Amino acid sequence: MTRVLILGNSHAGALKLGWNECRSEFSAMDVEFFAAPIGAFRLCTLKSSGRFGLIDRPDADPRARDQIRKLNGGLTVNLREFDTVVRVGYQWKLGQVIDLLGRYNIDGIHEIGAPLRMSLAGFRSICEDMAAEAAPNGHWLALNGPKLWIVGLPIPSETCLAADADPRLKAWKAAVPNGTSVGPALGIYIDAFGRALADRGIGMLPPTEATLGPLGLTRKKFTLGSRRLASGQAHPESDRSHMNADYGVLVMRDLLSRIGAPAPVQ
Amino acid sequence: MSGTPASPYSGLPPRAFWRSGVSERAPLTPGDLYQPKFRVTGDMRIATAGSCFAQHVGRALRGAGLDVIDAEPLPATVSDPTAQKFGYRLYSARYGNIYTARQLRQLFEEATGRFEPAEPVWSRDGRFFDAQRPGVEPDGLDSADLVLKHREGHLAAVSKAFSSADLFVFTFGLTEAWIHARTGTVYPTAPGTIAGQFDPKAYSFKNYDALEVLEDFEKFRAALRKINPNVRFMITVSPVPLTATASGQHVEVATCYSKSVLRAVCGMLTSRHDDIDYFPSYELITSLNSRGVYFEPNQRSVSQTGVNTAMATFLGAHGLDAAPAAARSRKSGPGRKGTKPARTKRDEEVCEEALLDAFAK
Repeated sequence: MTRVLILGNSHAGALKLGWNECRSEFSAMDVEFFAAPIGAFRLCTLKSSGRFGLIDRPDADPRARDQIRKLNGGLTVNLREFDTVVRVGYQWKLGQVIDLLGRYNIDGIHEIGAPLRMSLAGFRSICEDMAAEAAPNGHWLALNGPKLWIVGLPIPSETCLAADADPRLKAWKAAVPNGTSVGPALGIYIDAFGRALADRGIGMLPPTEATLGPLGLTRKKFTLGSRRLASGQAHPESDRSHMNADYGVLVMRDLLSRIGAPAPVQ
Repeated sequence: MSGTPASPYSGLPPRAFWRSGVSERAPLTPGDLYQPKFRVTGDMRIATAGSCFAQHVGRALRGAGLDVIDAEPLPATVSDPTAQKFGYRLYSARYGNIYTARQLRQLFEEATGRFEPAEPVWSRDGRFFDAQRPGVEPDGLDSADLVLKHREGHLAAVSKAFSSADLFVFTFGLTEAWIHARTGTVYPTAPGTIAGQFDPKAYSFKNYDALEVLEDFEKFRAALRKINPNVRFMITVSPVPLTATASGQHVEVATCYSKSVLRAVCGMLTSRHDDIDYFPSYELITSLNSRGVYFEPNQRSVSQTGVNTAMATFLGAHGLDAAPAAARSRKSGPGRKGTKPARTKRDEEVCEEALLDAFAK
């Protein structure tokens, strides 16, 4: 039995819902979750002992404390009790790539009529840099036992291109102004991020192919009916970032099949 | 007659005399070499350009939290070495080093649609390079057409950066250049150094004289002021000697000529125009008072101590702090995101001219 811990913020919710639907397919996997809404999750820290959670924070907002306890049955979890730890909803800084893709055409892969142009070689080098900067550090590199995997924040839904979309997502609109897919350019960054993680002995789950639409964004159908982690209530319709159970099923299948796959021969 | 000084020199401040101003000044004390003509303030939008030394100037201004324009910005998490390898974060747009006043004038005329360079694309090993900035794509591009497409976007950024500047900082570097013989188009590097092929029939050596440099900067100033009437100028002369000369003179003699011409032109420009101030970085770095310690052992590159001294003098004279806390928001131009905090390590400049060393026997 492989013991897997899914650790993350509100984006772990979709994976939890997905796991509930597909767990029977993974009889050799024992999957547990430790999650909290972003505000509470940010208060959690990883200690060199491998324990993660709300530790030594007597000043923490009691509401956050209650949320963590209610969702997880306790305030901390020992990562060393697991074979694999998966950080979900990881901030892999796609936003900075998208910011770039809104300003620049990239030779051969991203033509949006932007005023500026960047060479593919330049873009690749820049992605390597940004990806290395976005990789985990500190105690996450010394878990001493479990293999760490990263699942990045979901790529926003196609609905982020709507006129009334959250202004925080306006960079995505700028990067996809005329039906041009951001997929190839994002793919270069994601590959670079994967290499940066591999250099640190960390696995990465790239966005699951079946969740992406032709523009390189998450298909609209995967945001419909997404649920809040803490309350279980539906996210507002305007939410373009949180995904539903169908998404969770696809991602969990993808993730667990990779975790369970034999390691490539070096 | 009572009250009439015995000599026009009596009553002048100590800085006016060599003995008190230099001989008796403690070693490595920059002294009172610079009194600004006008104030550089934190709300000015600043464009920078020039020869290698100008990179230090831009970096120091950014480090001081000033609003240095970056019209081709990158995200802040991109490291400076990677950014600079591709010509980003060196100047207010990705034009690389501008060594001569003719190159500056030509760039702006091209950006405003009044000039088309001859031989705009150079090649090397099947790759294609922008002849006006051959260093910004180290491996070149796939085709000549692509180079021209890149240039089109770049020129728009140049126009935007220059026309939105409140202060244009330019460091004069060289008088020597290589030009297209038939049209006079000037290039930042000798053909064949980074890309292109040297053909003595197509390209010729040019050593600009003071009147030509003066005219080039005057034309540039007039053209810029036409679309940006309130812009002011801060000019300097790079203290970095020539790496090599094609003049036939000894390189030391050629350096003296070049710097003398540039310094003289700066003097003329400053006395002619209220909107132009001169900052004596050349004098600060080469001063006898510095005993040569502002240069690296190769006696050419300016040491970090020298850069720091010059820039602290500049900032101090304007009442600016050399390294304010990251308190001041990082601003960088049309894309104001994207600058990195001032660095503490020795910053290497990107200097195509130094490649000429590779050709030394």
